[in-house]
Amino acid sequence: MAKKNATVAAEAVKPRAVAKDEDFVLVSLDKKATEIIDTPKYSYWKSVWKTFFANPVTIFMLVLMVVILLMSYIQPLFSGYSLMDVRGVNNLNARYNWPSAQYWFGTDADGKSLFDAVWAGAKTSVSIGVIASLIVTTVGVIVGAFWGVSKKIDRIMLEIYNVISNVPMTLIVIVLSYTFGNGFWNLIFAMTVTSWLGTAYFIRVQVMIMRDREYNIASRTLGTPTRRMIFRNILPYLTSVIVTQVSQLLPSFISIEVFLSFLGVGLSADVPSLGRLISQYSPYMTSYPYLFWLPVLVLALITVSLYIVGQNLADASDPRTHM
Amino acid sequence: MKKYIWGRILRSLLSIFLVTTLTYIVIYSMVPRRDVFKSDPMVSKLKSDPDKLSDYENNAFAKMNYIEYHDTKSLIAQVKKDSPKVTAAVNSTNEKAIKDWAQKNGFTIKQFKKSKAYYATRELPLYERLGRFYGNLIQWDNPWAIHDKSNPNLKRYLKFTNDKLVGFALVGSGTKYRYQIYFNSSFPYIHQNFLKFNLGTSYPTYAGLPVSSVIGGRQGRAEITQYTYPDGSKRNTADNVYLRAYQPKNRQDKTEYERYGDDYTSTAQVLSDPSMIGTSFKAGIFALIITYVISIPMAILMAQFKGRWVDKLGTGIVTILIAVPSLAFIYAFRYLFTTWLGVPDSFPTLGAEVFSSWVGPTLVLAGLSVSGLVIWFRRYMIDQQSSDYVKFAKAKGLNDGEIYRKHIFKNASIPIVQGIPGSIIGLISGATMTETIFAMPGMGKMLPDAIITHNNPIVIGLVFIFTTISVFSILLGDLLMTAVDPRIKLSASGDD
Repeated sequence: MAKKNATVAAEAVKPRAVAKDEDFVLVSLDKKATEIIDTPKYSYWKSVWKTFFANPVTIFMLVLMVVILLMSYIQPLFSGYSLMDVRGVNNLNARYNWPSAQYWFGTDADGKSLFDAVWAGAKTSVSIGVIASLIVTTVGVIVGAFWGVSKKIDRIMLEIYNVISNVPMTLIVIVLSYTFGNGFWNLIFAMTVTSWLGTAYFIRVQVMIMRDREYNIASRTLGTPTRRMIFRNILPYLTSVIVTQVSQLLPSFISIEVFLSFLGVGLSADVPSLGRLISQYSPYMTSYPYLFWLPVLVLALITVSLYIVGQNLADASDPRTHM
Repeated sequence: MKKYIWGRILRSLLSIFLVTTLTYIVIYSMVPRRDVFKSDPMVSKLKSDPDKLSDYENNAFAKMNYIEYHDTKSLIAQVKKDSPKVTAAVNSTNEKAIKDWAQKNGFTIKQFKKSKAYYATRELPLYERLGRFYGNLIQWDNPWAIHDKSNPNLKRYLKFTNDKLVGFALVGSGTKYRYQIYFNSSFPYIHQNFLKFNLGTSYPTYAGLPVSSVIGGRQGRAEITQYTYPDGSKRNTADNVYLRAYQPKNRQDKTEYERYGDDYTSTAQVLSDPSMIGTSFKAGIFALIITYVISIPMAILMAQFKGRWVDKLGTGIVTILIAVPSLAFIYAFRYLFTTWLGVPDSFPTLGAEVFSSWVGPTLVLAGLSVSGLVIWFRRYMIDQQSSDYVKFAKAKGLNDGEIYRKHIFKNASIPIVQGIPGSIIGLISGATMTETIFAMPGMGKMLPDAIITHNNPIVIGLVFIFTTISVFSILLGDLLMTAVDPRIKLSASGDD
């Protein structure tokens, strides 16, 4: 029906010869047809999933991501891997075994399976990335939303932002994790304590764009309170923007954690982490390359899959892609 | 506009001040002060002698401005001003005199464990330490800088002459340094000695050296040059004659005095390799250039063939580069460069004089920022593609190449120009990792090194330098943007 209308409309535009009477046909009024409301059914989340799963690369990455996440949370439960366990250190046969059917990723200097070490490390790295991203996104979005609508908050926050944003984030995190000392939660605190400002500023700009749209001006004129404006009128429109943010934050936090553990600044000595593995085995790059490259590979797979899944989810959650 | 720029400069200075102060407060109040001795070999050497150990520790704390410290000798000298009869002997009359003095001046009196001799310490409150840090930060050299009791006839002047040793220079006497402004063949050809930054004293690594000379002083081995001295003799020396500083009379060497003909005989050595800051800058600037040289053509190509295989391949590469953690990226590319190009995998293998040592770190540093730049530049170009002036240019009959080069590129480059400083910030973050992995002796490697050895003064000095660089590069970026596009008025952007 819609198509037919479109063709009629297109023909109407074309200059034609003057219509004659025999060109027209009398159509009787069809009461049944007028009763049908002809709009396609639209559900936001259904369309999001439909678009999301339409891309084979996304599905592949999603499966990869799920497998990696399951491995890093379930495998350590069974392996009982502990950094402090050095029973095999004197057993020369158990040390430095190349990857085999028994030890999939080989064994390290203490005779421990690298496979266990990698997943125990991945668990820490992923946990830190996820927790830090959650904190930063939650705080950032809420503060950013109020920052965007209130001029008073804007004035104060802009000054704070100007001071903090001038400094490279890595520098802040390195210095803070140094001062707070080593530890899982200390590291998360050091990572999040200033990073949320970046997200908040980004959301603020997005909110400011939405704030002065006609529907919001109308809503405000009708007396909608600020909080309702933010959570009902503005934030739902920013879903895709927020998902993009998360998909960028996650790998970057994992990357920072890895780098800090690499330096020996972030985590305490008994917590396994991919960064610690990489720094520990970087001297073995030529003699036992599997010890070094396998953790690097797993790390890269984690962040790449998280990033690509996140980006594609963000694309899918943008209603403009649903057409 | 002028008013705006001044406002921005003031704000930038405030920003630097706030960040440095916050770092200072956080580090000095939260890092346990005993940590500085964790990696100090002197402490374990002195363990057998508790007196010397506590003297050493207190001296170290005093150097780092944690406390004010008087050992027995200087304590007695201080107390003598109030009660001249006091001696170092441990007895009740002396103790009373010393305690009275301590109470008056806010010191705490302690006794060494073995010898029982007195010493005095005073905790410096944080604001006083900060005051000292900023009070000593900027040091202007002037003809009244030197006060040497053994040399009352020191002349005090500043004049521009043709010096026998270094040629034309602004020569000072009574100043700390002999040559206030001088010229030589090394970049940037004109040098000064009248303004120096004092960022404190480094400890426990590079113990006793000023932070500014650890970061800004040259490194490597001594380099020998031939000079003709004012007394006519020709001599090969590693002394840096340009940095001649005043040497008090009682410490002067007679032959040196005769050779130079004045009291400025204290020299540092000329070293072969650039300083930490110089190393980082050299690698950073070339990395910046390489980043742009790679990413701009790549972005143009991707935008021009949007949606085709070039674009898809480029997007795929860029996505992976963004997602892969920097650490993995650096290691992977280091491996590739060493196997393909045959460059050394660590900087000190061949040293700073050999070109190939620079190739790896610089390329990796550039590679780290390529992905971000490509993604933004492609976005800007594509946004421009649908604008009216492009359609008009097409209607006029310009071909694609001309449109991209002459119209879209120029308009899309406005945000890119503004982004140059952002890439400098990215380079700083990248440098900490790249330099650490390549063992390159720059500022970026120094930061983790200083943190691991608990060298707080260096950490603060580096934070100060990095903040200053990034704050002013952001300002520079905004100014550059107005230069590229005169339509942009910074002062009018009220709501930003």
